[in-house]
Amino acid sequence: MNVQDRRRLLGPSAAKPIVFTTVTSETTKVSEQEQQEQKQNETAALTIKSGVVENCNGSTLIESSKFSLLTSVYGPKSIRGSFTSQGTITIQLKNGVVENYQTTELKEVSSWLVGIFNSVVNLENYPKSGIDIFVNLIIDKQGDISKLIPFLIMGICLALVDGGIEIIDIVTGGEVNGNVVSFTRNGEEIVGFWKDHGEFDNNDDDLMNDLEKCKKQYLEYKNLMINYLLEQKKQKDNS
Amino acid sequence: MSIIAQMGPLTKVDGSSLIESKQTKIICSVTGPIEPKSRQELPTQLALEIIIRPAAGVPNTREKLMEDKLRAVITPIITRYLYPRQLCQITLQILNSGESELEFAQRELATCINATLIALIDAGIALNSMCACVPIALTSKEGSDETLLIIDPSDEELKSSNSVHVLALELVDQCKTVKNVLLLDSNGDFNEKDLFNILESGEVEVLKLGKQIRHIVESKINSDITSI
Amino acid sequence: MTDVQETIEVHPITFPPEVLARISPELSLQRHLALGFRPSLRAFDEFRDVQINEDSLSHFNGTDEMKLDTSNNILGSNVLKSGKTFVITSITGGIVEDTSSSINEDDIGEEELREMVNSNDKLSEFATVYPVVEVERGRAGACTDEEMTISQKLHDCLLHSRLISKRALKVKAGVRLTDNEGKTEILYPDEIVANEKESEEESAYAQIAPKKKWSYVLYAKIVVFSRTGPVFDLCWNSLIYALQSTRLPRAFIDERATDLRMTVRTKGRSTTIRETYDLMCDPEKSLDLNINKSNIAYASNFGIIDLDPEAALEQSENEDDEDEDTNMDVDEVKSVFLADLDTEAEETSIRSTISIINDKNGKFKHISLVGGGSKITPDMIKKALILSKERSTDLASKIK
Repeated sequence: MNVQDRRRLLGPSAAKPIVFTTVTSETTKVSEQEQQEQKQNETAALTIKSGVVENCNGSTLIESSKFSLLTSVYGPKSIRGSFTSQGTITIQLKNGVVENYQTTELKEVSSWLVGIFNSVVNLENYPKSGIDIFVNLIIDKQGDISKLIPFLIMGICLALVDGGIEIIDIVTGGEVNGNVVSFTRNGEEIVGFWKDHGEFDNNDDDLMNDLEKCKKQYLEYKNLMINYLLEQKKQKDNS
Repeated sequence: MSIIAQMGPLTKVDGSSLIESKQTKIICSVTGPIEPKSRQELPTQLALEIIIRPAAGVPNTREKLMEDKLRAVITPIITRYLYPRQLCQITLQILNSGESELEFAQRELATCINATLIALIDAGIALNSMCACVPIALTSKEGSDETLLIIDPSDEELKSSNSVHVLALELVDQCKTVKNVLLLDSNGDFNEKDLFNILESGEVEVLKLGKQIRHIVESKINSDITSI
Repeated sequence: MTDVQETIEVHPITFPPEVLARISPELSLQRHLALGFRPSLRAFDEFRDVQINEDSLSHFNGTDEMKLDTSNNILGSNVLKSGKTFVITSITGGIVEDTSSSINEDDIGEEELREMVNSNDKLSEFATVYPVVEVERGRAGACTDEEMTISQKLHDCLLHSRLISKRALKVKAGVRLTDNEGKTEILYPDEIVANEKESEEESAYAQIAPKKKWSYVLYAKIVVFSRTGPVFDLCWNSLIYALQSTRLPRAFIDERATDLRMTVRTKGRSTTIRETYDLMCDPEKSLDLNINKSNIAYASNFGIIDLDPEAALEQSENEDDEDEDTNMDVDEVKSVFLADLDTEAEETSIRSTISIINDKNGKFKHISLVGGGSKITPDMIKKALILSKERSTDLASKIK
């Protein structure tokens, strides 16, 4: 950047960021079965908490041993400018403590996520309103955004529920080999497909295979979300 | 603390002042009450826009913090309900900081506060009370634990001090009585005894400065009347 | 004549407490205070509890696995939770070349001379961190004035608190040697001194020791979630906790770069310049950040507000009649003293505040009195000092 940012304290301009030398260590290839097992353990170790942020309409914190995602939903709030017949969703992803991703990468993911939620949120109910969603990737020890996407969708979906925003169905997705497929309607409808570094070899069988795996994960995560919501409702009713 | 002040050096604005205190020199302009931008407008009170520009370079967070402190001092002394839905712009240009800018802002802040007050009076904005502000430094005496209080310290004195302070008091009754502490901003190493010492000794100095400011305003008005 | 005596019925408008708090925070606050408690339901001099998490995010304090992750450049961290608000601080670092001491670094006379010149500038021996504060409030774009002033205030207070001396940030650079077989080894000057018998190596180091000097620069990223009131205190305390967990990585330079010179000719003049060679950091070895422990201090804040008798709800008809006469004479304003301001009502309505950074012994690092509203009396300052000392003691005990 040419112009110094006057709104932030940046310190001496000659300073260079700390660079660690790489340690040579063998990266062990994880077999597919192990991966699957790991995923199951992950699901088991997932903790969900809603309503953690006070100054927004709805929020969710999803944590596992590998990541911690905080989603906050602001809105529906009035937008400036001319009349719109339905609500507008914006999603912003932010790096957490470790700056793992480039802003362009995050922008790409967020615009993809907007596509999903445009088909999931009942936007007709929110004319001339904006729904702003902020996701902070507080902790992410994997450094692979594809692995996070199912949980990003999960977090946003639950935060929308927490904020009382009408959605058509519970949405989430599954990830296999860097490819993410997002479903609704009990796996009958695909609302999003993210292809990153995963390979398909132009093979229909491969595709169908991965699709099935994603669907299985989707159903699993969906169950988890529904159980969480029911549990929450029970607690609310009791108190 | 003594200052050399000129009231109304600028002719194209509603009020202005030029203050020199030791090496520190600041010019201040006040424009108002004027029409605000819609986002600045307050339904029942006068809105304030405060801009401080540094002696060198462009304003950054350092000036923002000074603006924030200046606002805290100035807001309560202006009779803001008299000007609902209006705006008052206060712009300060530091001509000479008179201190090491990377470490201190005490001299500049104190002079900014005094300059703003005189410029506000020049602009004829209604005020609830007067205020005056002095920078203070505490130094330990060579070879003893005793602390020495320096009013209006120079750059060197700031550097060799243990703690630095800015004290602004609200003055009423022809600058004879202190109504409240508008701002005490202290940084460094100090204790409870030092704190009350600053408040007590500082009060005497602030009252003196308040009288000096009154005198400056008085002579300006007198000269304006005689020139008519 | 038409009958104009139409009766107009005036219905009093009532709001639920949450709505009143939004549309008239001042009135809502006064109503609460008149009943003897605060909108947060805390007592007047009660603080929010503070919880902190042990640092598990940073490169050197995490698991062994994390040390392998070279993209994790966090040197210290803290997660602080106070009431509904939580603050996440992460400390990262940089390295800057000390240009003022790059020449004659072994010449003690030079060093002494510099110290003599600077002896009158006490603050110049101390360093600070460069904080960037982000307060999440559901909007994108330029940073707010609040974020800017808090960043600058943290920067100033830390410098003036004399917590980090410049000496503590000096890089004790090592040298990476590669022997004939291609095996590499990193020599650090202080490690060699510790093993004195290896005097051979020491002299080897002396020969190849880098001729330049470097210092660490510390940055702090402070993110505030769920802001419910003023946050400077929370940011300061979180920063202080994070600095106490900060570890500096060992840095080294490759032997080939220790004394690389080249002659450059520009416009007929020739000068010798040294190739700038970046320092590399050791992902496994680190040193504690040596902070001046006696200067650790924690922040607390207080507010003073005058009670408005008119805002209080009428108690009951009878009582009012009795009080009528006595009330008339009572001209004195009663003010209340509140600790640890929170909620929108308190933040917007209370214009007289006391903010203190001190330690449990009452040693001050910063104090800020702002008397925009109710009068700040010496008694109130004294009360604030006593409470802030207790708070500091409590906050200091949270770290092991």
